[in-house]
Amino acid sequence: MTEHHKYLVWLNSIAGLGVKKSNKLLETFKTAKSIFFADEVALAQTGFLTNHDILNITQKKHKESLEDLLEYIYKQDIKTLSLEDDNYPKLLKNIYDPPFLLYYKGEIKNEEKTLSIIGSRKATSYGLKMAGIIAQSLGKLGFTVVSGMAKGIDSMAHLACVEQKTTTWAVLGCGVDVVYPAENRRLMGKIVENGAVISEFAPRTKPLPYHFPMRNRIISGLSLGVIVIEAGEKSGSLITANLALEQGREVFALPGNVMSTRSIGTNKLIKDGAKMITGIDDILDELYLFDDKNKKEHYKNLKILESCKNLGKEERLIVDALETEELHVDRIARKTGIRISDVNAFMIVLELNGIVEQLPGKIYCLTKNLLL
Amino acid sequence: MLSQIQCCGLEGIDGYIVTIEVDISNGLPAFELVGLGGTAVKEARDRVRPAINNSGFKFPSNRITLNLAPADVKKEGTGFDLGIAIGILSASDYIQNNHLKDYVFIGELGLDGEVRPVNGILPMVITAQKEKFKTVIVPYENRDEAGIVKGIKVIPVNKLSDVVRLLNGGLNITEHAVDTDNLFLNDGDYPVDFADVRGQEGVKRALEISASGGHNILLLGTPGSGKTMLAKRLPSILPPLTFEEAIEVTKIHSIVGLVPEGTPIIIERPFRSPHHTTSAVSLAGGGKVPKPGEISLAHFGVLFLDELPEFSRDAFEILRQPLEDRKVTIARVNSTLTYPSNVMLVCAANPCKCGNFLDKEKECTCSAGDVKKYLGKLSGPLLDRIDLHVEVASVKFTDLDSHEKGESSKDIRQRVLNTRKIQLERYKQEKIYVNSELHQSHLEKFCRLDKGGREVLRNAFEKLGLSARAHSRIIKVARTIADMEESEDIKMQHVAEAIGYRSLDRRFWHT
Repeated sequence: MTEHHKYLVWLNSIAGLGVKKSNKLLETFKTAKSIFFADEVALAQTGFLTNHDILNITQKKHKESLEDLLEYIYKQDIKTLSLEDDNYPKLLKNIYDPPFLLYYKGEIKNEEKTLSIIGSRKATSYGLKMAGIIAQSLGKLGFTVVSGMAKGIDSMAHLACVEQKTTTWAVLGCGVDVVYPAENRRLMGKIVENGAVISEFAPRTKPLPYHFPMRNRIISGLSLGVIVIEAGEKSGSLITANLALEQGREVFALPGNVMSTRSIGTNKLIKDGAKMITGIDDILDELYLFDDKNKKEHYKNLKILESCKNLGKEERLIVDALETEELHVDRIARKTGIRISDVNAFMIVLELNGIVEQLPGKIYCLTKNLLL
Repeated sequence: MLSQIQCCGLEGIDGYIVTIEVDISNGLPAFELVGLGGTAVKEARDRVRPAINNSGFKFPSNRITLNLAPADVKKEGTGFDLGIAIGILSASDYIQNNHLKDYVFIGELGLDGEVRPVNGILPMVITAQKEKFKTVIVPYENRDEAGIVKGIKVIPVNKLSDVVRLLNGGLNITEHAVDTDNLFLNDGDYPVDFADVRGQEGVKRALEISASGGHNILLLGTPGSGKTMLAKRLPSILPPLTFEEAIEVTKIHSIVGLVPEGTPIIIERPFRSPHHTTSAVSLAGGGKVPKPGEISLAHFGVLFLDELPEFSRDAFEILRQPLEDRKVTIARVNSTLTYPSNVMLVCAANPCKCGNFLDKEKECTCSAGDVKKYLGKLSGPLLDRIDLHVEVASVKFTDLDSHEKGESSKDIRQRVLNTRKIQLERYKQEKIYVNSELHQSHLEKFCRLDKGGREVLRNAFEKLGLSARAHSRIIKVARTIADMEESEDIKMQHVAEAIGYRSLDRRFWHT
């Protein structure tokens, strides 16, 4: 770690000093080192610091604990990235209040094609499935998928990427060494292997509620656009969508069932002018990144209908029944006229062949490969 | 003067003969009762005295010593009253009968000399019959329950004075017998029927499998999806009780006084559904003198635990051993008793605290953590004892409205009987009756999977993330499904269907 970074770590660790003030300080003093050695008079002359801020900056506590923090960062293999660095993501650099220091684990290459997928923590099976499909397709098309590693949609988007080993970034509202939610420990490890876990918060920082809106600006800042999969009426995802608009990024929203409470937010976004997505095309068209040839390639990858060719008569009937909607086994039996005991058996066989997927509640749907 | 009278006490679900010895000697008037009588027995002194006086006899004003032999066993209950009164009357020469040793007297006395019903009449009469007594005197209201026992004269009585007249030959009361054959002719007309349930074919199928192989089952679904309604109908497709089973069930119900009035013998399979606030003790049985708990009352029937995750941890834990051993042993200071507990366990649970997690239309108000925690309670050893997990979806109005009636319980029961017969035949040498009782060692012997079956099972474990404990459960259930189709080999489709009933072992509950 360069000396400059070490002083930035110190600056970042000062309690109560926000990004905006820190960036202004850096502008005034040029380097973090000179802030470190500045006396109270010099700090007061800047004009935008309160007495409290000055006290915090000059406090010995922070300076003394710096060594300890630096050693921890070193041991944990946490890397840092400052605004001046070449591989600091360009998109993020352009926002109003970019973090002057990013902590990360894994690898950040300066990606050009980044999109974020965000949505409700409590997602429906539809939302989860679509998050998976979209992340998978974007990954295959060479996009880096950015999300927040929260439960639900976020995790699903990351999961889809790490499964096919395409790049994905997780932006956290806590230190990059803190696993939150705890159940994502394994997923986090995989994200580090396939991309990076990023945070502007110092290691060991807990996930406090007010961190998340700050994190959201990085998610949208890192990407060309945000894709909102599902959002309730007052979802945090809507905040991110707003931030994206302020930052001049695209906002995409997935339409949902009008009666579903988890789609109220996304449907409203569409009404307010967000780009509605019903397929990957909608995203690509908006970004002007692809020509027709690329698209064809993409379709070939996605449509794995080969596996359906060897199906028996009854299995074919079941697949046809599931084409338009996901169904409970009882309804499948009624719709196809096959005995329930046989339907039960067929469903497991189809599932093992990767043609259908079971959702909680004995409900089945076609695997994502067969759609889009 | 000395007299000896036979009564009957209760230990667990079996009776034992108690001899009441009465000695009336000269001395200051006193009434001593020895032989480890409990409170209710000791109070008999104060009931018997007025009962005798009010029946037209005179309570002797001498020194009375009364012993309950065997004197080292604690005796409980009010069933000794009649015997005590007869003993005193006999010792004071009111009764002239040389055959008193052929009689057993059971009954509680009222102060007016009325003979009142007691609990546990059936096991007591059975004991009297086994011990080769010729006549048993029982309270009139207990007559039907006592009357089913063959090989002993059952005389129902109303009043103490009647008993004395009967013994002195001044009154003739006809023996009461119940025609048990007739009772069993009626082939289980249950008040509820599967035909009442619209839709839910998947769950009905699962319940049929569960009834056919005696598998424990868990129903998981949103409130109002009909879990309870379906579970209540399970006894109606179980094979009817045999006479021996019925006697055992009635015995257990008899000792806690739960045999319904007017029914001599319980011929329907019991269905017990304790509330989820029930304590561990009332589930397994207990008390100072251990009484059977819900699991024993459900013997040969169905124990239904609604809202399973709401039961206390203790309640879960206490069920483990009885479910495995099919009997429950309760140890207390006074006695250690064993009650049978051969039940089919049926559980129902909501998928989360608010219940709407699986519902597509209603919003679930639980956080993701809450959902996980709620279902997390179900995991572990108890789930190990449940073979089938079935998710019950709520029924749409259009399904309710359909005129299409479901299959009747009678038709389903016929198939269940067939499947059970196949199992009985196969396990003749093994002392087990149904597939759910198969041990690990039996699996290899009786559950041969064909090539397709093995393939699909191996595949399922690799791709579906099933936990290891699912393995033997799947094979047992597949065995039952194969039996339902009268196939000796377990084929691919049988295994595949059985895999479908392990949804709680599946990974998607844990993401």
